[in-house]
Formats: sequence, structure tokens, C-alpha cells
Amino acid sequence: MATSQELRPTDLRTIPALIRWHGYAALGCVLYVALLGLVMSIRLHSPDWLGGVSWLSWGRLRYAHTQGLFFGWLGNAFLAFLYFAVPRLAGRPVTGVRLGWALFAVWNGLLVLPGWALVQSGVSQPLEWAEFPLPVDGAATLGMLMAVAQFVVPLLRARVSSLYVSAWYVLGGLTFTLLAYPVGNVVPEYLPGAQGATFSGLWIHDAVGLFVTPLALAIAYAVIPAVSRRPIYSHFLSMIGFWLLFLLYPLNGTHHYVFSSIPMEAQKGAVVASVYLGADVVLVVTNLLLSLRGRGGTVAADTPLRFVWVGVVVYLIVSLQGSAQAIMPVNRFVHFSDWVIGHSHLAMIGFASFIALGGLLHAWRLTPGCRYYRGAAGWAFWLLTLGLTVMVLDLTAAGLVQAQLWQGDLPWLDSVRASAPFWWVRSASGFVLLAGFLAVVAALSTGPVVAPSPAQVPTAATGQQDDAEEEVAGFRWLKNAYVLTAGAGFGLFAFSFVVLGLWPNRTLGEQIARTQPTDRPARTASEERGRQVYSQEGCMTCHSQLVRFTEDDVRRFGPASQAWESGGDAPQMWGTRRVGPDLAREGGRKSRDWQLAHLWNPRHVVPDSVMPGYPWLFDGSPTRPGRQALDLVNYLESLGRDAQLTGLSGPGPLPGRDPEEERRKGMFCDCAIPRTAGKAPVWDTTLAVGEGERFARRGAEVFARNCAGCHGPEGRGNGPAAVALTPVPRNLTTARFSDRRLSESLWNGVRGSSMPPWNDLTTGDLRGLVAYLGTLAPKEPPPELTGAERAMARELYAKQCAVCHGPDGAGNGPSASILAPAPTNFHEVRPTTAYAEAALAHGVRGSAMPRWGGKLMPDEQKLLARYVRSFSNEE
Amino acid sequence: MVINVIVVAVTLLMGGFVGVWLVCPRCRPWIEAPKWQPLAWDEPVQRAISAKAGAGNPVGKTNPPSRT
Repeated sequence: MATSQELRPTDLRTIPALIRWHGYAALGCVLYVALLGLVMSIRLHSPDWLGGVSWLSWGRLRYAHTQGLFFGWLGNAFLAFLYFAVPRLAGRPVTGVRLGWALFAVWNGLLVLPGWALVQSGVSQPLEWAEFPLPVDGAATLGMLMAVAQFVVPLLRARVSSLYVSAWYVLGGLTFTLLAYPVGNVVPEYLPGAQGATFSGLWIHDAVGLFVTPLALAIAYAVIPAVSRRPIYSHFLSMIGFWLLFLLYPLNGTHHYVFSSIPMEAQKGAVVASVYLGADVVLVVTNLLLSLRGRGGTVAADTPLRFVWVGVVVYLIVSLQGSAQAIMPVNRFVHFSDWVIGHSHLAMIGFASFIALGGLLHAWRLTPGCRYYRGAAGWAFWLLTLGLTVMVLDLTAAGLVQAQLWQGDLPWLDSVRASAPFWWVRSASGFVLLAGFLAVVAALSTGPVVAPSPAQVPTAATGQQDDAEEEVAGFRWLKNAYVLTAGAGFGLFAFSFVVLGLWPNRTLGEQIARTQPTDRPARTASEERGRQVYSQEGCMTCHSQLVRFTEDDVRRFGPASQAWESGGDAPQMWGTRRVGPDLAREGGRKSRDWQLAHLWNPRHVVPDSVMPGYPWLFDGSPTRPGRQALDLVNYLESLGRDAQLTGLSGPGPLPGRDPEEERRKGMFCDCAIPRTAGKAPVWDTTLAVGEGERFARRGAEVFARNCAGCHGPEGRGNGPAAVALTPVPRNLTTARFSDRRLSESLWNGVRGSSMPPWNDLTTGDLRGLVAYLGTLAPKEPPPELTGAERAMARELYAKQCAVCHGPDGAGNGPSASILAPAPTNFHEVRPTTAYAEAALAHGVRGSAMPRWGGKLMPDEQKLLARYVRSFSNEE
Repeated sequence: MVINVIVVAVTLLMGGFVGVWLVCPRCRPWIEAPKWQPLAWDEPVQRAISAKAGAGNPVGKTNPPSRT
């Protein structure tokens, strides 16, 4: 049995230094992480702030934010606490001082700092909680291996009978993470699509559940008795809690992809494990809180313990919330929304960071050479509690609003607009959180210096445990900690790897082989490069590529994503959040010009968009896209192409199918969904005078929100995006359009132009738009032609115009079917005289309409202009 | 099948713990005894802090007292 005499004086001098260095690194990291979070939050409601700087792009900051929190803040804080706790838990020093400094150098010098530098310069891996690129994954694995050597080895030499529950969590957590990290980070790089998602889903949850949670609980189990001077309520219950946690947590991973193409059996297994896990957390938290019976005064007076106490209570809340949102009826509603972001902040700040802070503050005030200022620690507690409470309540409410709006047929952008007030509040709470972390820095860097104390001699064993061990000598094979490590670390890792990784993969492999079409066209080199750009900019942090098997998803985005569809994506790009719409079927929905204008500045084409612009992909102008911009657009155009080629999704219902039936059952059948195109309803504007004006006013508002980016604020076709679009957006003041034509263009878009379909607007909005657009062009009386003029015009028209515009001006000439945009149908569109003459004289840029100036005499041009205006019977 | 495996594993684990506790009284202190360990950590420091902070609030009202 180890004794305190094994500690050398040098260890006692050096370990405090490592505690301090990891502590300072943690503080530096948490400030940067909080700052990144605040910047990202502000940019959700002020998207042009700091725009145009590639390394401050929203997606890259998100990568740096989550990985910085995980490795930089929590990783360093946990390591600091381990230097404090492991000698006490093991009764012997950590493995080595040099190893300690090497671990510090690797963790911060090869992992955190290069990881940040790389993701912010555009080198990353598009996997959640695994965003640092592969070379950094190597450093992370090395760091974890060194952590195992430093902290697990001393504990391995102890006997199970003398291991306190915190030691169990340290053993299990470090060993498990060392195994799970490479699997979650490397396997999806080589295993594409749904098959890779099974493993990346495992890591998403293992990162939280098997690294953050065990080490946070190790702190809670250590600090509560140490400060309250009372043992935990039941070590027996804590053991049950430990084993159930290590059994169940890794089985939760697939609940991040409920309603996906991952086999339903695995999804339901993850849901069941999530519910079981909630019950386990009730057990763990009950045990911890019972340990503080009658110690309310201590909790109130002692700031580190108060941090831990709040962390434990939040652990219960966030775990029960997690169990609830894994259940399918809840999941189908809240998934992809800010509800989940609130949940993750509650977990990472309220649970993990609060307990880490409690542990760090407790270790700090007992570590020689550290400064500890109790007053600032108290301020930090209240600021962080306030900021967290406001942020989580705000994001939860925002998530419910977003989810409710997504349930209906309202435009996607309505959910973005509705989120704006919540995002402002979120930013305000972010300032409070940042202030709280600054107070933590003050607490740990000012105040009196803790003096060296000979009393700080670790002890782990007592005669009591030795006696106990004697009594159960029959269980010799159980007595050493390596048994525990093998079970919780290796055994349960292997169990989850098989049950939620290999097993569903076998089924997926068979399913993909059975259903995928033969001769799928491979992505071009440009599309592959575009995929890299999509990945480096973190597009999947706001856009999913996964139409789930839910009615709402299918109604909005088309048939659910099949497993084979993402078969070319390694790593997969499914995503777990939607600020913008799903992009799995993006190809063909917008013109290339629209996509480029949108990338240059999204607000040019979608005035209320919160998406950041990507001007560094261009050569100074939206009309001069660089190779990366073109590659990215090519990639976006390729999304959903295979599904269209196989008839899985398409422009209209399959012949002989009932569209309503298809819409209802779309998620379960291989059929087209009539969502994006089809015969347009016609919004008649023959309304009573008062009602017509009311609709026109509404239409003006809808126009300003949705159309002004291209068509300009007055509809003159001179919006900010116009310069990048060919053909240029229509000047709506130069022609009068029939209700039918306007309805058709709004419902289906205009082929061959950048005008997208607007069929997700409400009927009222569309009718309002039709009414408003009807007021933009001046009313001119129909032209009057004499018989001779009409005869001459008819002859000219038949000779020069009918081949495109048709013999009677209906836009259906022999060439019309191959022209995009289609030739004007003069029965539905009556241009103003001035515009008709200008179009004849100069042609229409971006269309097949040639310049007739110089080919026809001016008088002939004027005659033709009058003639084509006479086709329309509009008064 | 996956659900069955999970339910059986949880049941066996819980049953195993409760079973050992019930049928092997000698194991109980072996399982329970480590909970006293944290009370021995930093004991002298804790005593000194307790003396300064008062018996009702054993730890944490102040920094550890200087020993230099």
C-alpha cells in the first residue's frame, strides 16, 4: 500500500507549478472561447459585423469555440485538478514531472493552439466535437496517451478496495476517451455517409459523456466531502452510478440522428439508453445531494462548493432534458433548433464548467504559490449563474418558437426573423458570462498567495480498507484497478462500438448495396473541391444535409434522405443544427448567379438573411468569383442530383399518383413530392377597392423583405444583387403583368433566370405581392393601329418575331422550348411603349432577344412595339 | 435486438450490485469503505481553516492561513 512517504519534496514543489500552469492555460482559453461565443452570437443578429475577414468567418469561429471549450478550457481545468487530486486518490505521486511538462506542452502547444490556428485559417474536419483536423487529432491522441500514463498508471497500482469513486471516474474516463477519440475522429474520415455517422454520433456523445462527465463527477465526488467534512452518502450507490454511466453513455450517441437512415433499431436502442441514463443520473445526483444534508450553510458560504452544488443540480436538469429530447415525439419537434443549443450550453457551462470551476477554485486555494481572491470568486459565481440562466431560458424559448414555425408551411426565413429578439438577449447574456469568466481570472490571479504547507500530504489508504480487503480475499482477481480499467474503459467501449457502430453498419451496408442506383455519376473534381470549401467554412454548422423521416421535413424539403445518398461523403455532412434550411436537395433550386450573389453577400438576395458573406472567395466583386466560389457553387448544384436522377425527388408527382397521398406518406415511399413546382394557383386581384389596397400594402411589405435585394426597393430591377445576375432582374415598372403570369412566376420561379420559386410564402403574402406588383407599372391605354399598320406589323412580326414569340404572341414559337428564359408571352405581359421600343432597339441582356437596332428601321421598331402591346387585352 | 441487449445488460449490472450487497455482507465494507478517504485529505489544513471559520462552517470562508 502506498504511503505518503513516497512523495518527494520535489514532487510537492512541482505539482503546484503544473496545477498553476494548466490553470492559467484554462483561464486564457475560457476567455477566448467566451469571446468567440459572444462574437458569433452578435453576428446572428448583426451579420455584417466583422464580415469580410475569412479567419473570423462564423463557421470557423464555431469550430474554434467548441474545440477550444473542450480541449482548451475543460481539458486544462481537468488536468489542473488531476494534479491536485490524483496524488490524494492514489496515495502516490503522478508518474513524472517531466512527463507533466511534456503533457502541458503537447496539450497546449501541439493541440489547442495549432488546432485554433488551423480551423480559423480554414483547415478543419466537418465533424461535430471533432473539428480539429487530422494532424491535430494525432496530437490529441498523444496528449490523451500521456494523460493516461500520468494519471491512470499511479491509480492502476492501487487496489480496488482502496479506490475512492473519483478515482474510478478518472480511470474510466481517461481510458475510454483514449479509445473513443481516434474512432470518432478518424473512422468517419474513411467511412462515408450514414455509415460514418454511426461512429461520429458515438463520439459526439462520448466527448460529453465519457470525458467531460466522468472528470466533472470526479471533481464533485472529491470536493463535496472534502469541503463539507462529511463522507458521501453512499459509496455503494456511487458505484452503481459509475457502472451504469459507463454502460449507458456510449450507447446514447445515435440519438443525435433520430429519424435518419441509420437503422431504426439502433436509433431506438439509443433512445432507450438515453432514458435509462436519465434514471442513472437521478441516482447519482441524489447520492451527491444527500451527502450535503444539513450542510446548506457550508454550500452558501463556500464559493467552490457552491459552484459544484449548482453544477450537480444542473447535471440533473440537463440529463433529464437530454432523456426527454431523445424521445421521438420530442425529438421530431425540437431537434435542429436553438433548444438543443440551450441544452448544450446548459451542459457545458452549467454542469461541466461550474463543476470544473469549483474544482479549480478548491484546488487553487489549497495549492502553494497560487493567489486566491474569495470576493472575486463570489462575483464570478453570481455573474455566471445569471448569464447562464438568461441564456438557457432564452435559447429554450427560441427553440420552441423555431420548432413551431418549422411545423407549418411558413417560409423558412420567418423562423430566422422570429429568432432575432432571442438572439439579442442571448448576446446580452453572453456579455454577462464573459464578465463572469473575467471575475474567475481575478479570483485566481489576485488576492493573497497560498503559502506552502507541510500538511498537504496525500493519503489514500487507511487500515480500514486493508481490513476490508482481507475479508474478501476470495475475490483476489478483482482486487487490482486494472480490472476496473479493463471493464469500464476497454470493455464498455467495445460493447458500444459493436452495438451502435459495427452492428448498424452491417445493416446499413446491406441496405445501401440493395437500394443504391447503379452507375451513379461521381462528383467532378470541382465539386469535390467545393465540398472542401463547404467543410472549411463550417456550412454544416447552420445547414443540415439530412431530410429526416418526419412529415414536416418531407413536406418542406422533399423525400427523406436515403442511406445511399450520402455514400460519397467522407466525412458526412449531415449536421445537427439548422439556422438556414436543409441543403440535401439544393441542386437546381437556385441559379448559379443567385448562388454566387448569395455567397458574396446573402442580404443582397435575401434581405433578412443572417448568413455571413464570403467575399474572400471572390476577386473583389460578385461578378468576379474566384475558383473556390465556383467550386462551392458547383458542389451546391450537385446536392440532391443523384436523388433527382433516380426519380427519388423531382419537379412534380409521378404520373398516376395522388399528390396529397404522396405528401402524407412521402417519408416512407420512393416517390416525388410536389413541393417545389407544379401548376400554380392563380391569385386573382379583382378585389373590392379597399381590399385591393390592403393586399397591395401587404404586398409592398413582402416585396421589401423578399424581393428588393434583386428587384430594388422600387421594383426597378436595380437591387444590390442585380449587378451579379444574368439576366438582370426584371424592371417591374416597365410592363404590366397578368395575375396568371405573376402567380406562375412566384410559384415556380422563372426558368433561365435567378428568380427562385416563392411557393413557401403564405397565400395571403402571394396574393398581396400580385396585387402590389400590379401597381408598379404605369397604366397606358392599349395602342390603336390602323388596318394598314396592323397588316404591316403582322407581316414584320411573322418574319422576325414569331419563331420565338409564336404566331399570335403567346410566347410559344417553334424555338421557345429551347430558350431560357422563355420568350415573352404578350398576352400575359404588356410592356410599356418605352420599354418595348428599347428592347427592340438594344435587345435584352441575358436572354435570346437580339438587338434589332440597325436591322429594322426605327419606324418599324416603333410599329412592332405598338403591335406586340396590342396582344394583351388588359385594360 | 439492440434494445433487448441494453435492457438485459442494465438489469444484470443492477442485479449484480444488489445481489452482491445482499448475499455477501463481507463485501459491504469493501464497497463502502473508500468513502471516508476524502476526509483524510489535507486534514491539517482543513483543521486550521475550521478553527478560523468556526465549527459550523468548517471550510472555505477564508484562504488557508499562512504558515510562514
